[in-house]
Parts: sequence; C-alpha cells; structure tokens
Amino acid sequence: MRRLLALLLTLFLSGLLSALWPQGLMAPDLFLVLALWYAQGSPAYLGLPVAFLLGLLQDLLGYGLVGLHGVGLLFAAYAYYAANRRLASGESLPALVAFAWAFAAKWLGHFLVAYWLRLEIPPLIPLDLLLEALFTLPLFLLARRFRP
Amino acid sequence: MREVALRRAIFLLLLLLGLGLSALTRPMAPRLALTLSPLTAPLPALGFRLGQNLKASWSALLNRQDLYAENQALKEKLALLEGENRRLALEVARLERALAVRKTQAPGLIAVAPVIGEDLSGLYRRLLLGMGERDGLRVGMPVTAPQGLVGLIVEVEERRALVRTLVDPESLVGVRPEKGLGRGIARGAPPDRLLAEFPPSVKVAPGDLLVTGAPLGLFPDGIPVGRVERVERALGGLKLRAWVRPLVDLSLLEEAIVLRPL
Repeated sequence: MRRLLALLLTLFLSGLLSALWPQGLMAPDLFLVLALWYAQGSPAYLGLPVAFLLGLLQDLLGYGLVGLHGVGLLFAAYAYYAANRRLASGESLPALVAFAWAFAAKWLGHFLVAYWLRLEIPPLIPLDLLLEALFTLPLFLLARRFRP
Repeated sequence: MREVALRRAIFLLLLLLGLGLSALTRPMAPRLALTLSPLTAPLPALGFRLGQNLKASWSALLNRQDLYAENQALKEKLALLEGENRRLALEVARLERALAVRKTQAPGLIAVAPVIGEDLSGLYRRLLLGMGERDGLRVGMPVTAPQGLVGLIVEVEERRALVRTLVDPESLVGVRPEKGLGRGIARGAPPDRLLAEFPPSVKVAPGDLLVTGAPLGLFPDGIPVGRVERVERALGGLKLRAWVRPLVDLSLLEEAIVLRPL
C-alpha cells in the first residue's frame, strides 16, 4: 500500500515540479528516488524489474524514447545494490556514496542507450548533472527515513 | 554468491529488454507515449495544473503588491501636486490682485503682504502685516486692497509692519467725490465708518463714491475709499459731514498691497 502511495505521490509531484521548477534548470529526478527507495527494502529480483518499469513509465510520461530511462534506472538500481552490499548500510556517508554511485550509473545507462541507438548526445554541462544530483540528494535522504 | 548471480542475470535480461524495446519502439516513440497517456498522464497532469495555478497565484500576488506600492507612490505624488497646485493657485490669485491694483490704483507697487494680525481693541483699528523692513516696507507707505484703500504703514519692524487703517480714529485721508469737484478730509470713526468733512459748496449725496485726493500728500490720487451713506450739515451749515462706509471689509482682509509713498 505504501509503495502504491509512493508511486502516486511521485507521479503527482513530478507534474507539480515540472510546472513550478525554473526553466532551464535540471529538476530533481523523483523516479530515481522512488526506484532507490524501493530497492532499499526489496530484494534485487524485485527491485531491478521495478526500477526498469518505473523508467519505462518515466519514458512514457516524458513522451520520449521508450527504454532510455528504463535502462537508466535499471543501472541505477543495480549500482545501488552493489554499493549497499559493499558499504555498511544505515550510515549517512555510505548512503551518500551509494547515491552518487547510483546517480552516475543512471547516466551511464542513458549514454549506453544513446550509443546503442546512435543518438546524438545532447551537450550536457557537468554543472547541470551536479545540480540534478544536488537537488535529488535531499529527497533521497528524506525518502530513506521512510522504509518501504 | 547465488544472489549476485541472480541479480546479474536479471540485470542483463532487463538490459537486453530495454535495449531491444528502445530499438523497436524508436520509430513510434511519441505516438506510443501519446496512446498510453490516458493511463499514465492524469495524475502528473493534476500536479502540473496545481503547479500552474500556484505559480499564477504567486505571480498575481506579486503584481498586486507592485500595484499597491505603485498606488501608494502615486497617491503621495498626487497629494504633493495638489498641494503645489493650491499654492500656485493662491500665488496666481495674489498676483492677479496685485496686477489689478497696479493697473487701477498706482504703478508703485512694493509688495503684497499677508495680514497676520488685527487690533480689535475698539480704540484703534490697526492691522499687522507679515512683512517688514527686510522686505522693503517703510513708514508712510500706503496700503491698499483691490477693493480700495486700507490705510498707512505707521510702524515697521524687521519682519512685521503695523498699518493704521482708514477707520482708525487717528487716520486722516484726503478725499474727493469721484464724479464731482471739491475736496475734504475723512477721519476714522470706529468701529467701521469714516466721517468726511467737506465745504458746503461741494455736492455730495448718499451713494456717491469717494476716492483719495492728494491735499495731504500721503496717498496716490484716485484710490477708492468708501461710499457715502448719509450726509448732514454741521456748524450751522458751514460744513458738510458725510458718513462713509469703507469699500474694504477689514475683517475679511487676508492680503494687503503696499504702495510706494508719494
């Protein structure tokens, strides 16, 4: 039930943020937060497919290429599981490292799909990526407090 | 170990699925999303609409604050301009009166001075002007108003001057009928009359206008003084006495015009 509510809340907030967020500024990735939150309390055989499906939903909501975010979130969830396995869970610093690892993996997934489809990769400024990570991180830390 | 292998297997499987899906659906990417949007979009659309409304409300609130500040500023400016307008209107009226005096009474205008005080003792009828020596006022200068003669300056300080009005008992004004021959002297008869004495040969009747003549040399010739109310013979017919009401209502006088002395 909580997971369903979290999904509905994410959908609602994503619409709200897209209206309120300043133009030209990278918004926080709420679906990444949701995927990691779900992965935190679930085994990998559930967490990975859920992350993948959440990514597909994100693709559909963005009217974009189906699979781009799916693969991105799949990478993120996989990296998060891998990081959690190696780091002591429940502490702030490992949580930060796990998030950074997952965030980087998400973008790696995006680039992989782009390369796979021979897409032109849009010119991304590292500062944009950093801002997106910084905006997403507080939401991730907040979500960690509410275990699924 | 088995768990890691399972995770890797799922990951690879889903990765292949994702890559295959992206390749397969690439040609119909936006259409597919649009087709499925009735299932996916309602909740984000609700959030989006709420966000837009919040943004519009905030914008309206800011605009309203701007308008409020602008309105306040304009009100302050309007009050300033209204004050300035009133001041200028008074100034114009004052100058018009001065111009009228210059045209009708004498070219020797010195100043237009505000009346700041009045002696109501009953013994004297004197006015205090808000200008003095510093403004060029001197003893002996005639004081008039657009309606007619007021009096004569008898005392001057740096910023004030005392005027002996024509109804003061010490006042003496040389007068003549406006449309007749002959001269006489009008003394002040408090509280609000003058008593003019003429030789019996002068023809004066009630209603006649008396103006200044120049036998005593204090006032320019031709300034209206007052209108005759009553005429009587005195000293067995050797003199003609006329009770005169001044044209200027001293109690309503706000400004007086000071002329150059003869």
